[in-house]
Amino acid sequence: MPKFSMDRRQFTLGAAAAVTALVLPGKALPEKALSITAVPDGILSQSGAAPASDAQAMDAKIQAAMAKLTPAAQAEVEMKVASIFRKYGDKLNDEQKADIRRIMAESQEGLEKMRTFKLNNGDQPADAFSAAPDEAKLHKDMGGKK
Amino acid sequence: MLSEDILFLSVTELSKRIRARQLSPVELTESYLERSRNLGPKLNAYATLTPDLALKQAHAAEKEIAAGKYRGPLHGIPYAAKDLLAVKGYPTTWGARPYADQRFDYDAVVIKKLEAAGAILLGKAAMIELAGGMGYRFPSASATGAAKNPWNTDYWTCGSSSGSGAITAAGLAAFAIGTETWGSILCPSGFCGLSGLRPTYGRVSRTGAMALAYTMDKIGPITRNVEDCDLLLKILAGHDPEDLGSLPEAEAKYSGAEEPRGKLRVGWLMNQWKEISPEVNQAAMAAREVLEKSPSIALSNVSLPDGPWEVAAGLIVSVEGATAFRELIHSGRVAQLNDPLGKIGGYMNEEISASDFILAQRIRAVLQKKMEEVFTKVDVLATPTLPVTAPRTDANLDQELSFADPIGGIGNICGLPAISVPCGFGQHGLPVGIQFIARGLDDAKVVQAARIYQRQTDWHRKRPQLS
Repeated sequence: MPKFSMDRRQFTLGAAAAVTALVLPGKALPEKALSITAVPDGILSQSGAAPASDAQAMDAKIQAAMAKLTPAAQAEVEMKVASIFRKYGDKLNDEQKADIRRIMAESQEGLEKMRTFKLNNGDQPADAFSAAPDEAKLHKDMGGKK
Repeated sequence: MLSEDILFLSVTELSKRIRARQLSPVELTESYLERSRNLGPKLNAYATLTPDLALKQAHAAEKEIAAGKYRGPLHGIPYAAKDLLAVKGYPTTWGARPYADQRFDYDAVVIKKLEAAGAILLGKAAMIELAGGMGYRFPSASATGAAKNPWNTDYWTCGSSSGSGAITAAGLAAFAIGTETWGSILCPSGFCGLSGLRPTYGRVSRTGAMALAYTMDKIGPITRNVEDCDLLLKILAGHDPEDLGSLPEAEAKYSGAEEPRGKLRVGWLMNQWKEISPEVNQAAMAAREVLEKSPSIALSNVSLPDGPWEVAAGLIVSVEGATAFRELIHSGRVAQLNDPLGKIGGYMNEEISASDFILAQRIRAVLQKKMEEVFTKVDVLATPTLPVTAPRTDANLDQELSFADPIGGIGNICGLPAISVPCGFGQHGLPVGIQFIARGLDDAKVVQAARIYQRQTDWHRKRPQLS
C-alpha cells in the first residue's frame, strides 16, 4: 500500500514505502527522486493478453516481491491468490490474474510488518459498536413506542 | 451573464450582495449554469446538471428575499454536490457505470440542510468511481472521464472529489460538496488551489451518501476561502440519529471559529513527506515563514509517531469497502468499472482476514492515544498538502502519486479534522497547498490556523484563466 492514496487508490499495497524520512525546512529533494516506485512498466492494457515482454516484466515483479517474503508469508499469498481464482477465476483474464498475484505479493510485506506491531492483550479495537445506541434512533426503530 | 469577477467571489461576498439585493439569485444561477454548460464538459466536471431544480430554487429564493424572508448566508447561493449524494428525481451514479441509472426517492441529509438554508443545487459533481472504493490506477477511473484541472487542463484535479475541485476552481459554482475517506477533499483542494475542509468524523451526517468505509467516510465543503469553509460547516454539522457514526448533538454542532484567545500552537511536521518536489518545498517554506512571523502563532517542529498506521488505515478501508460493495464484487459487475485496478481490487480486499482487520482496529485505538499526546504539545499540525503538484490526466498514478502519506492515514483513521489552503504555485502553473490538522472536534482550530495564514496571503484570490 501506501503509496500515497486518494481514498485508497491501491489499498493494500506497498506498506514498505511508508517509512518516512525528515523533510527539513528549506531542504528540497531533487525532482528525479520523486520516482519512488521502480515500476517502469506498470501500465497495463485494459483488455487482451499482455505482450510477452510485459508478461515477463510482470513475472519479474512478482518474483521480486515474493523473494522478500518468508516461506510462510509466500504460502499465505499463494493461498489467498488461489482463493481468489477459485471464486472469481472465470471472471478474470490472464493479465488480471498476474496483476492480482503481483499486488497480493507486494502487499504482504506491509501486512507482515503490521502484524509485528506490539500490542497488549487489553488493547481493544476502535470499532463503532455501542451497547447503548442513540435513544432517538431506538425510539424511531420501535415505531415510536418506548 | 455576470462577469467572472462576480462568479469567482466567495460565498461570504456573494451573500452580502444578495442580502443587500445588489445581486439576483436568478441571474447568478443562470450565469453559473451557462458557464457550467460551456466549460463543464471541457473539464469533465459534472455528472449531471440540474437546471430545472436550480432555477426553481433560485426563483423561490429571489421571491423570499424580496419579501424580507432572508434565510441566511447561503440563501440564493448556487453550489454543486458530489454525485454520491442522493438527490430525489436525479441520477446518483456514484461515478460508476454499473450505477449509471441509479436514482433515489429521497435527498441526502446534507442536500436537505443546504436546501433549508436556501442554497441552490446546480448539479452533481463528477467523481472517481465509487470514490475509489475498489482502488484505481488512472485519473480516468470515472464514468465521466478524467476531471481536468482548470489551472492547466492537461493535468488532473485529483480524486475522488474530482469534479467538486474542477467546478469550484473554474468558477462554475460558488462552492461544492466533497467527501473524504482518505484524501478526497484535501487532495483536490490542494491540486486546484482551493480551500477544502475535512470535518471531524461524525460531525456531518452521511445519510443518503454512498458508503465506502463506514468508520472513515466524511463529508465537507470545497470552497474559495477559509471563511466559506467555516460558514458551511456551521450549516452542515449536527447529529443525525440515522447515521450510526454521527456524534451526539453537543459534539456534532459547530458554532464556527472565533478569533483565538492566545497564540495558536502550530507544529510543523518534520516526517510527513519522505520526498518533496523543489517548487512545492519552496512554496511550503514560504508558508512556514508566514506562520513563523505571525504574532498569533507559536511555531515548533513536531514528528509523527512511528507505526504501521497507513497499512492499518488501508486495511480498514479495504475491508469496509469490500462489504459496502459486496454485491457488486460477487456479481462480477466490477468488470464494468473503468479502471483496471477497480475491476480486481474488490476480489483482493475480500481476502483480508477478520483477524487482520481487528488487529488494524486495535492499532487504530493505540494510534488515537498517541495522537492525543501529540496534541498536548500543539493545537494544530501543518505540512504541505501534497509533496507534488497535480499529475497529468493520462498519468499512471501508481508511478506518479506513489509515496507514503502518514498524516493522511493517521488523520483519517483517527477522524481528525483538516483543511487545505493554497500557498503558491509550482511547475506548469499548478497550485500548491498547505494543510492544517487538529485533534478530533477541534475543527475550529484548523480554521483559525488557515484563517491566520490566509489573512497574510492572497493565493486564495488567484483564479485560472479559462476561455
